[in-house]
Amino acid sequence: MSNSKNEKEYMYERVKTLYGDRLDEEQLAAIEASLDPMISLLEKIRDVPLENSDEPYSVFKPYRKNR
Amino acid sequence: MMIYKTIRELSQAIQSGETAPTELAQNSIERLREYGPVLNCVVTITEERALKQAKQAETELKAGKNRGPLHGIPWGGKDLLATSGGIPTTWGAYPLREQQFNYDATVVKKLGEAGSVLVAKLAMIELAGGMGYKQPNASFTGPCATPWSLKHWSGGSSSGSGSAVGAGIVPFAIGSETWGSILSPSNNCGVAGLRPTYGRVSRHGAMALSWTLDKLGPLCQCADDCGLVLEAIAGPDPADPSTADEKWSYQFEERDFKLAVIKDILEGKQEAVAENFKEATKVLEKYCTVEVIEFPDFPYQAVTRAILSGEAAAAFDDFTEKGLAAELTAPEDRYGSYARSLVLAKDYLRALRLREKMCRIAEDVMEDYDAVIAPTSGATAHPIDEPFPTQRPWAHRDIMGAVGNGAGLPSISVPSGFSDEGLPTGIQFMGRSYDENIIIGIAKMYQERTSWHIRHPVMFQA
Repeated sequence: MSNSKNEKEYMYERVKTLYGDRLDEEQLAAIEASLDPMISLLEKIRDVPLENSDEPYSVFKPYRKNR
Repeated sequence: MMIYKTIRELSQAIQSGETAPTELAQNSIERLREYGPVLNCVVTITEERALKQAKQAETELKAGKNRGPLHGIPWGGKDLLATSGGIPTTWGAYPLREQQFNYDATVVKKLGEAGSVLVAKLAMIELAGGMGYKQPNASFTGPCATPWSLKHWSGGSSSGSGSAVGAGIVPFAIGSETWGSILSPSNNCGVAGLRPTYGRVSRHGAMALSWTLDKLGPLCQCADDCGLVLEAIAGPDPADPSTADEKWSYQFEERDFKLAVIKDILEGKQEAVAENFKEATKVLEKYCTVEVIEFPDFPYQAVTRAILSGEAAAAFDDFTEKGLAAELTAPEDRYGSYARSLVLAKDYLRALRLREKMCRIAEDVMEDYDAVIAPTSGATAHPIDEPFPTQRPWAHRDIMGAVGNGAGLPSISVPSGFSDEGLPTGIQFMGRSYDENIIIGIAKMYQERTSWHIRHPVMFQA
């Protein structure tokens, strides 16, 4: 079984576990179908190599009142 | 009645005594009542506040106190801007239809300080499209129409902002864009719309869809008006740490500009869109150099989409957990958030790490140019009663949208012509970060050489 298939099954089961009680069959089927493009999108960003020093593009600044 | 006048024209008319702020406010309110339900572009008419602000403007102007070009000018705000005084702020969502705030968003406050008159809260796609809507009917106020055809959609998510300006109901409106939400209604409604650089305008008091992608900006009759409004709303705000430090003033540039167009940008675009863009380029070549460029391979759309997915899932976490999505209008919005809530933190952070590379690529590609031009949308307004097609050829390579929003770059859209059906098309000018004066200058010069922006839908003329 491919990684993306495993991931899809994991995500779908997680949606069913967390929210299954509020979703009908049609909605669950639509969610399942939406997982393929989402995983494909995530795979695209996972494929780009990054260095350990590549930081997230947001800067944390410690807070100090009146400074 | 002073309809379809620019802000400069209205301001001059007020100064000369040809009209007065109270008259302008009352005219807008009358048109909101008459045409708001026709277009589905209005949520709340803020009559009491409007008449109070208009009266105050009139008194001040008579006393010689002039706050500038927006003094006494009516405007409408997308209904995600917090407003005090018991005025609802619904975010376009049925379960939040009675939501109220006890403060004004910074943009609302700044426009009040500029003397402008808030006449309405305008319709929007529920939660600014954050649940993944797939049709125009995704707002509790109903699908919003473009004034050019009641059978076609206004665009979204700043639907009412585009529609009300296009119908001459308000001289200008404020919208928000996370990915396309100012430019899309500008395109579909035939008006000028400016997406400022991220951080140029405070987001304080505006609904958050994606903290690092959301921008607020004006929709107006022309590019010049966008500059006037931006000057009033731009600037640092301690309540929004993302705002740029410097104050911004509108000083449009007029010179020989150097423009770029992405290779094969017309691939998959509708014929009218492509033809009008080619004609627009010919006009631009009279005062600009236009060169073809290419962006290197990079997952631009995946990066921006992953950031949007992760942040939207967090922004609406409480909404989702409470099960409120079940009450939304579009059926697909009732479950759209659940899958997105599964994006892993490491994937979201990976997208943020790739964002810096994307910003540097954009700067490297664009640094020799004043702006990149492209059709604002790949198609004219979509039929109002049909779901969006699953396959939209022009949407597959939306580099302009992905890079522009992911890297926080400014872009302005102005009308570029019409289709055979009489629906408007638009051209956008995307600049390097903080280059609003340049892109407004280019768009202004384009509008001085074309007349698309002074054509108005017959149904809404006086």
